This record gives sequence, C-alpha cells and structure tokens, in this order.
Amino acid sequence: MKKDLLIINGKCLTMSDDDKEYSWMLIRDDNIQDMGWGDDYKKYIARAGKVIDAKKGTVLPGFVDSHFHVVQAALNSRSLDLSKARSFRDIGTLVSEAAKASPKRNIRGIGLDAQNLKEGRFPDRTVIDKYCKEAPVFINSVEYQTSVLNTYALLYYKIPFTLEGIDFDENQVPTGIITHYANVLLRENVLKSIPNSTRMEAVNEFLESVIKNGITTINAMEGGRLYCDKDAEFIYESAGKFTIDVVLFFSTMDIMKIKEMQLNRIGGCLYVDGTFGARTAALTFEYNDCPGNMGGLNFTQDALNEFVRECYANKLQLALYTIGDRAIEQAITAHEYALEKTGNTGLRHRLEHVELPTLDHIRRAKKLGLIFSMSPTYEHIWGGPNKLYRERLGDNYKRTNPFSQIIQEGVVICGGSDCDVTPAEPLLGIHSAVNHPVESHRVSVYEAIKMFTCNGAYSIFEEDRKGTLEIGKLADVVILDRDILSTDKKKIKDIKVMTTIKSGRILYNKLKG
Amino acid sequence: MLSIKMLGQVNISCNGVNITDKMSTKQIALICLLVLNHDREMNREKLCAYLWPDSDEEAARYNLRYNLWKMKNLIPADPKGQNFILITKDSCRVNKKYRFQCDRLCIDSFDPHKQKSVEELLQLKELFKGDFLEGFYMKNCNEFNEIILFERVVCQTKQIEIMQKLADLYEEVNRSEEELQVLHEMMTIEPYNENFAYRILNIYKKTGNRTSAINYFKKFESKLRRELNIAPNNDLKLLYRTLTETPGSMIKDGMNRSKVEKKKLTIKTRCMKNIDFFWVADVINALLQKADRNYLMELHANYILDLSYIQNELLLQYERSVSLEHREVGKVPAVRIVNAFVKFLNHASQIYDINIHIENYNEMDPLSIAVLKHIETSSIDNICITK
Repeated sequence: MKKDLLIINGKCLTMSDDDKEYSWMLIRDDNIQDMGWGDDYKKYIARAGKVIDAKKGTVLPGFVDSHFHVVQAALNSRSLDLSKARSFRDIGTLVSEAAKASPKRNIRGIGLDAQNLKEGRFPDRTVIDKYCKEAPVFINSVEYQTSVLNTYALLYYKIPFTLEGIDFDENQVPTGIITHYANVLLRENVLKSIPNSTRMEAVNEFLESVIKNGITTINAMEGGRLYCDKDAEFIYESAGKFTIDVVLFFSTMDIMKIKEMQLNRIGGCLYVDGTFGARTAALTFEYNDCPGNMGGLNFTQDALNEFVRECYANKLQLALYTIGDRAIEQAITAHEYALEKTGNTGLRHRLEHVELPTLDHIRRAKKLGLIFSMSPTYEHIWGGPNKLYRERLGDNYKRTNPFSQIIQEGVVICGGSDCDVTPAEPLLGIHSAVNHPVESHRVSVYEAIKMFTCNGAYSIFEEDRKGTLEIGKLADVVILDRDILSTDKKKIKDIKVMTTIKSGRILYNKLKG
Repeated sequence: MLSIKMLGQVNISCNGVNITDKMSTKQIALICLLVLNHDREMNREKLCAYLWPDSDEEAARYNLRYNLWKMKNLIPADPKGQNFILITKDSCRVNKKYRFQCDRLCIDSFDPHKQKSVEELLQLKELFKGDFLEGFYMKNCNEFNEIILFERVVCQTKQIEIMQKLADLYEEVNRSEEELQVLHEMMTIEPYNENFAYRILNIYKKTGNRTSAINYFKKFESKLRRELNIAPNNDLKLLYRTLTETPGSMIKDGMNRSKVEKKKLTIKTRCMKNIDFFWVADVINALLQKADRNYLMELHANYILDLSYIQNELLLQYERSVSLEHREVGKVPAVRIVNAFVKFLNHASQIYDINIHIENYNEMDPLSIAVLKHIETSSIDNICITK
C-alpha cells in the first residue's frame, strides 16, 4: 500500500465556501484524507511515508491554467526565437548559430516582427540563404500570418504555388515570403508533418517547466486557424498520458467531429475578432494609432447566431475568442439568440480573453451564465499609460480587463496565461490582477487566487474533484515559499513555488521533509 | 526508348530498364537542363555555371566533360546510331533525331485554347505524380534551384488548367460523375477555391443529390470559417439557399431513377418473439446497411424520427448526414410507427427492387406480425417478402 504524505506547518487555504485555513493536510493515495490544526497531525506520523514542512508557506489547490496553447508552446520552446531581431543581420546571426548547433536539422524560427526590423520588411529567401543553405529554414511572423522560407525550405515543403499569397520576383520565381491562403495551407502541411513522437517529447519537456510553476491542470486550446488540427487530435489521443491534467478545447466549428469524438466542449480559439497587436480586434471606436480602423469581425451576426445555437442544441460547452468590445457584443448577442431559441442552460459557456467588456456586457453575460476566461498578465505586459493598450486604444486603455467590476457583478472569471503569449506563471497572473495598472480594476489577492483554482475547476465542470482543498478531493496541491496573503502586493510575482503535487504524487519539491 | 519522368520522384529508364540509380544528382540535373532547353544549344559555360558555380573554370569544364561522357555510356545510341546528346567543343544539346519521352515536355503540349479529347486530357492529368523534381535541392546551385522553383510553379498551374479543361469537357457531355470527381481532385489542390466549390454544389443540385449538396456546402463553409475566418461568397450562399428553401425545384432522384432499371436488394431479417417491433426494426437496420443511406435520409424527417424510436441506428445516421440538432425522441404511438414504416418502405422501393427474407418467422412478435399483414395487403410495388 502506498504510504501517506503529510504536509505540516502550512497555511492551507481551502478556497472553498467555508473559507477555512488549516495548518496540516494528509494525503492518502490520490485524495486529501484529512486536514486540521496544531499537533493533531501527529496521529498520522507513523503511517506517513513522507512529511513535508511547508515552513509557514501558503498551501493552495494546484493551479488551473484556463487558456494555454500547449502543443504550439511546447514546439515553440524548441524553436528559434526571433522576436528580438532588429535587422536581417540579426536574423542571419541567429539562424547560422542554430544551424551550427544542430547541423542539417530543420530550423523553425518564431516571433519575427517586420516592424521591428530596420529594413521595415520581411527578408526573402536569398537573404536567409546567405546564412543557411544546409537545412530548411521556416520562419513564422509574430502573428503567424506570414511565413518566410529559404530556398531549401521552398523546395523541401509542399508549397501550394497556385494559391493566393505567394510572392514572386520579377522572373516569376517565388521569393519565399508567403501569406494569405498559401500560408494557411503551408502551415498546415508543415505542422502536420511533425510526427506525434516529436510532439510528445516537446510537450513532456515543456510540462516540466509548467509543473515548477504549480500548474496541475491545463485547458489546452488546440487546433484551428493558424494552429493545426493535428495538435488537437494529438492531445485527444494522448489523454491520460501526461503528468498533469490536460483538458482539450478543440478550436473547430465542426460540431459533427466533436460529437464523433464524444467531447462535450468546443472552441477555445474560435476567433470572433483579431488582436490589439495587429489592430484587428473589433472595436466600437477607431484605433488610436490607426485612424479609420476599428478592427474587424470574422462572422456575420447571423452566422454566429446559427453556430452558437447549434452548440446549445447539441449541449456543447462553447468557448469563443473575443477581444474588442464589438466582438464581445456580437458573441453575447449570439448567446442571447441561442438561449432564446433552445432554452438550454447550465452549459457554462465561456468567452476567452474578453479584454474590453462594457458594464452592459458584463450584466448580460451574468444573466446568460457566461464565464469570462481572462489573462491578467496581459495587464502586466501591455497595461498602463505607456504600453501597448494605451498605444492602440488611447484613453480607452483604462477600460481593459475590469476584473473588479466583473466579479462585483457576479460573473465568474477563470484565469489563464494564454501561454506562450505570456509565461505560464499563475503567480504572475495573480500579481497582475491584484496590481492592475488601473486601480479601480484591481482585485483582492484571494479573488485573484480563485481565478486560478476553484474558478478554473468550475469552468471545466471539475469543481467536484478539484479547485479546492477539501477532504475527499483530488490531492492537487501547491506549496509556496511564503504566506501569500501577508506578502506585500507588489512582491507577489516574486513568490516561488516550492512543491507541486498532482493526484497525490510529488512532481516537484524544493522543501525538505 | 528513353523515358524521362521529372514530375514526382525522378525516373529515367532506357528500354524499360531503370537507370536512375546509376546517375548522380548532377547528371540528372544536367539531363534536366538539356531537356528543358531541348530546342536549342546550351553553352558549356552556362551549364558549368548552373551546376558547378563554386568550382574554378577548369575544374567545372572537366566535371562537365566527365559527366557528359558518363551519360553517353549510360544512355545507348538508338538503332540508327543516333546519340541522345550532341556534343560540340563549346556547347551541347539534345539530339532532335533521338526519340525519347518526357512528362515535362508532354504537358507543354497542352494549350488551354486548343481542343483536346477527354482521353488526351486524362493522359496528361495522369502525368502529375508529384512536384517537379521532387526531393531535389542542390546546395550551392542557386540558379538551378531557381529553375526548379520556377518549373514547380509552371507545372502546378498547368495541372490545374488541364483538370479544369477536363471538367469543362465532362460538363459539356453531361458526364456529371466524372466531372464531380475531377472537381474534387482540384479541391484537394486548391481547397479554398470557391469557383470549384460552386461547380460541385451545382452538380449535386442538378443531379438531385440534395443531401450531398447541403453536406458539401456545410463542410466547405466550416473549412473557410475555421481556416480562413471568412464566409463563402454570395454566389455560393445563394446557390445553397436554393437548396434549402426550394427542394421541390430539384430533380427528384426517384423521377430520374425510375427511368432506369431498379437495383435489386435482398435483405435477411430476424424476429424475436417478445420484443415489440423487433422484426420491423431489423428491416430498417438491414436497409440502412445495404441501401444508399443518403437517399434513405431524404424521407421526411418526422417519419425518420418516429422510426428512430424503435431503431436508434436511424437517428445516428440522421445526425450524421442531415442534422446534428439534438432531438429528443419521446414515446411514439404504435400507429405512427406503422405509418412511418410504410412510408420508409415506399421510399426505398422507389429506387430498389427489395426482397425481404424472414429467417425465423415463427418467432415474430405480435406487433411485427400485424405490420407484416398490413404491408402484404397494401401491396407496395417492388417489395417482395419471403418467409
């Protein structure tokens, strides 16, 4: 029989309705067996195989990261990061270093932003050829909308030359810069060609770093445009093979496929609009730095209404990607339509990101029972008067991610990192929600923790098994290096995870017994 | 005869004997250059620049000389003593008098403005086994690599043109099935092409295949939305609307098919004494297994849903091919089941000559016995029941 695990000398925040705090916890097999105060734990010492002294650190339910691109993040972690390149020469240096480090291995570059390059445009194949001719080089722009290939890659990958989006030189030879339809198909071909064994290797390697940050459950947003359906199929087929729980959100509109796979949820990154970065998120006002542009919607209202209604009719939980206020309006209107048509409730539909909701949106979402799946770390990276939100939205930056109002109105927020857009660090997410640049949008530490624990579990119908520390629940536990509730709010991001336990198994531990 | 295949994996054979493995990459590239320029002489210097750009002049000229000599040994002269390559001091070229075949040159014979027969186009279509010089890349031969890239663009464009011409010809002579097949192949090459999708939808409409048309549109629409985040164009949407709003305007399958001889269908069915409607449910299942499911699903949805009360396979098929909308099938009165079953058999018998064999009639449940009697007295055309 497996020996018990005892955690003592901690500040165990249950995150349950009773709001209790215990000092010790007994884990037997994969469950929480008992919890209590003071010396009561001593009766269990004899049977305990391991005792962890939490040293007065906070003990929390394992973190749930509600928005995570696990396969692409894992593959990207093995890719060449070109986000810091400022010239063709920078790109070349990084590419040649990568080629030298792993001769003849395919090179996949990510994060290239032409706006950051002094040349002000993407390099063509002849530029990349100067630095690497021995292996195919496939570079993705930061938004994945453009691909740049060297000559080897152009000949190596199956390129659909007759499709829109192939750039030609004056001799009608492809330049290696690929956009539009051709880029979609090329990405699909390239990503599909990655064997699942590589995916498994990359994901397992990547999850190790995730576990160190206390995450025990991930909502994997896989498949769909700019990603690859094979990623979603891989997660589906690998169910139960990962060290932590990976819950699939398949970003497809193919309801029939979802039913055949017997999944009970659909979506994740079903783009109702675009991003602030690319000025494609749909706004009710013009972009501050691009007059005349209000972004765009990817659906007509009728089309979205019909799709959402079909999801309701099929009793599928739906997660729609919405960023700008116009997209949020469209999504909420579609939900209202679908609810009226079907009368189906209780499906806990989600809006992902929801960066610019109005009070009216929040109140209507509450009525519909919608959950907001949000990424607080966006505020840390882009929020405040001198960063991207201000640049793109002008004074409307003060309206982004109004966590406090959303919670006050009774809408559940589950927190996610949108990894690898932001780092997979729930403590950074908590820090960002607590220290929102706009004071009126800030939330308490406790509310911020809820986003990454009980609310995360609720948003995937798993609150009966996880999300709180209660006797009988799954022993998904994280121990911090200090008491989070009494830590200076500005220093929450400095808190370290000391131990991560998943279903009673210690996956990561820096504390001595 | 010498045969050179450049589309897909390169294959060079002489009188049926494959000699590709005996050739180096440079020799294949050299043949390729000479064949692509078969109507002119190629300067030796130019050939050297393509294939040995990094070598000094003397070494490059030696390499060319050596490889030409190797090829002369590999490719025998024809019965009239003609060699494949004519070599002079400064240049070389393909010998006009030497007979050989090359897929790449064959597709050059295609001109979209000139008439070709179906058979000729089919032969051309068959030549496309893959990309031009698939798997080929020569590290330092930039100019040669550019030729490959250019040729790939040319060949892919030709391939689509040839297939389009073939589809047009099939359309002219009303060979819808073949036209459809070619269009589907074209869609695998250009999966977002709305003109091709329009034609496919139109063929389904013209041939009365409404279910397939609706399904095709939905799949295509979903693909556009999922992968490109766009909706189909207005023409496609309008065509789709004619399918969903005016099904009566389509040619009825039954009408079409009644002109031809009905297909014979024999199904074996079993009974179970104490299970209500067991035999009826078994007949439905057997028909689902053997008949055209899409056609069966064209029966009015209400009858299908009534029958799905006793045969769940029907509901599953309905969800797969018609609508995914979740339907709760509540208790259905026996009279509605009987009525729906008769409609179902009537519908199936429009296109099939059905022989239903009952394997253990003695075990039939009372409700099925009543239904059987009703069918026998109704004497539905093209249904024969044996016990």
